[in-house]
Amino acid sequence: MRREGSALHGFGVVTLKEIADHFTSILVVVLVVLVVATAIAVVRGAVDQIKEITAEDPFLFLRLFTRGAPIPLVALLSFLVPLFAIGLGFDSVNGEHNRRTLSRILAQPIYRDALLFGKFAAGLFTLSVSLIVLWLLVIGLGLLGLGVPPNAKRWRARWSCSWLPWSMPASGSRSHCCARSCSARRRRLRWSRSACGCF
Amino acid sequence: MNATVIEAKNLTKRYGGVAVVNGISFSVARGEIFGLLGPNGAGKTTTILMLLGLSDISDGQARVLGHDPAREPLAVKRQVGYLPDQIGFYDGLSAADNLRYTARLMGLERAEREQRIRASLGHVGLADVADNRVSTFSRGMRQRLGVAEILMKEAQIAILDEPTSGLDPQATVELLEIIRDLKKRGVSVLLSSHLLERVQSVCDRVALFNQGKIALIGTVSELGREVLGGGFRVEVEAEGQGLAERIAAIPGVQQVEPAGANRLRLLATGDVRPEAAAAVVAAGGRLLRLSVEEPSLEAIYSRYFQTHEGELHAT
Repeated sequence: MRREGSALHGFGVVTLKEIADHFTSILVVVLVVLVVATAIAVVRGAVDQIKEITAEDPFLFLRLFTRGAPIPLVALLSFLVPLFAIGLGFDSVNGEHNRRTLSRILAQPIYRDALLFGKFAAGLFTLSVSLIVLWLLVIGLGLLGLGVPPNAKRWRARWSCSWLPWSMPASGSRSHCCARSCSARRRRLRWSRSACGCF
Repeated sequence: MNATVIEAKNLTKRYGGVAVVNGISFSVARGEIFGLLGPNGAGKTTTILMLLGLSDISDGQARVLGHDPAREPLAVKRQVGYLPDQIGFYDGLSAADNLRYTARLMGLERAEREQRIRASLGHVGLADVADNRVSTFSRGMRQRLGVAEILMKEAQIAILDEPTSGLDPQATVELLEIIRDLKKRGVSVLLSSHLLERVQSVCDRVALFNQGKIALIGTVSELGREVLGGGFRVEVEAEGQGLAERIAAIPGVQQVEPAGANRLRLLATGDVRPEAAAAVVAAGGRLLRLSVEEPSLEAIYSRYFQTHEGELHAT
């Protein structure tokens, strides 16, 4: 049975409202604290380790993301991302039901698809923002901690890692694969460069 | 003016083979207040959800303002305001912000939105608290805010599910006043309730639900004649001699029985008050009081369910 109108009518309105809700809730304070604490802990751990291998590693800066004691950023993210996602999404629909707002909203000229997808998109956006903040914080603190700026030659290698935070929200568990492919690529790069005598 | 805005034909809803709403048919005319009455679980809310396109129709047909709610729910929902039973708002937002959100879902332009929000809040008497959080609102205020949403939508039909449940008498009276006002604006109102006294005072016509079917439909006095048996009950209070005999002689009076000192209760085929008054005066008596008993919805309702109780248990 075909229904009239777009399933996404009202999607933008729902998304904006949900984003506003996320950013004004207590949850965002918890997120900020978690992100900052994670960045500081990870960078401190990584910097300590990296200092010992400065001589032998050409891609020191990238090690910020993959090295560290007790736990490197990529491993921590695979745990944190699902946690963030659950925190953002666990009561988004049944919360509306409990507040008795669901039937009132659905009586407006929108399909329920728009409501569900809008809530999902808002969660995705909030998660992306917090992960980008985390990624930038790690880079910034890493610059301070290591005193090694990522130089132009390594832009390509670093670029390959820049999609890391974007891929995170899609799936927490995928971060492992992505880190693996990153390091494989870096290894290839390092081999080719050392063969050419670039380093 | 007499165009039909809601039409249900043989409307049926089944949940797992059990018919919750079983082949009901009714229609609501423009500007009419139509009441859906019945005990809890009789299928009133399900019927409303089907008319709004929020629930699939198992069988039969519904037309709301010429649209099929199953296929064109957006067109239906654009013109129909819904006040659910147990209405809720976002507690952390102000009354105006709550309305702003729904206005944006309706796709109203900014200037239009602000103007309509102000007008509708003013109309239900919430203009002073427009910027207060809804968490500070009483139940009656929330209901009024719900009506403000319908007004803001400029809906042609307002569907109110149990609008008066849980309200104190004062708030109920205010809400019923607002409902009457909706009618004055030409809005058709579909009202569901089990609070009969209140409903009787506002509804033009009612449908009595019983186990997913409409048992009775019509105006309150029509239902009264059908269920309570035709006839007017007139009470006469007068002082004088031999009044009972004289009154019993009035054509149309079927029965006269004493009901306390100086009181007589008549059962008649029509309104015999003028004749009764004349009879008392002709007998030289003093007429103290003369009243006709309107059939009350409560009486109709309880009588109906008393007489059908056997069937209820049998099915």
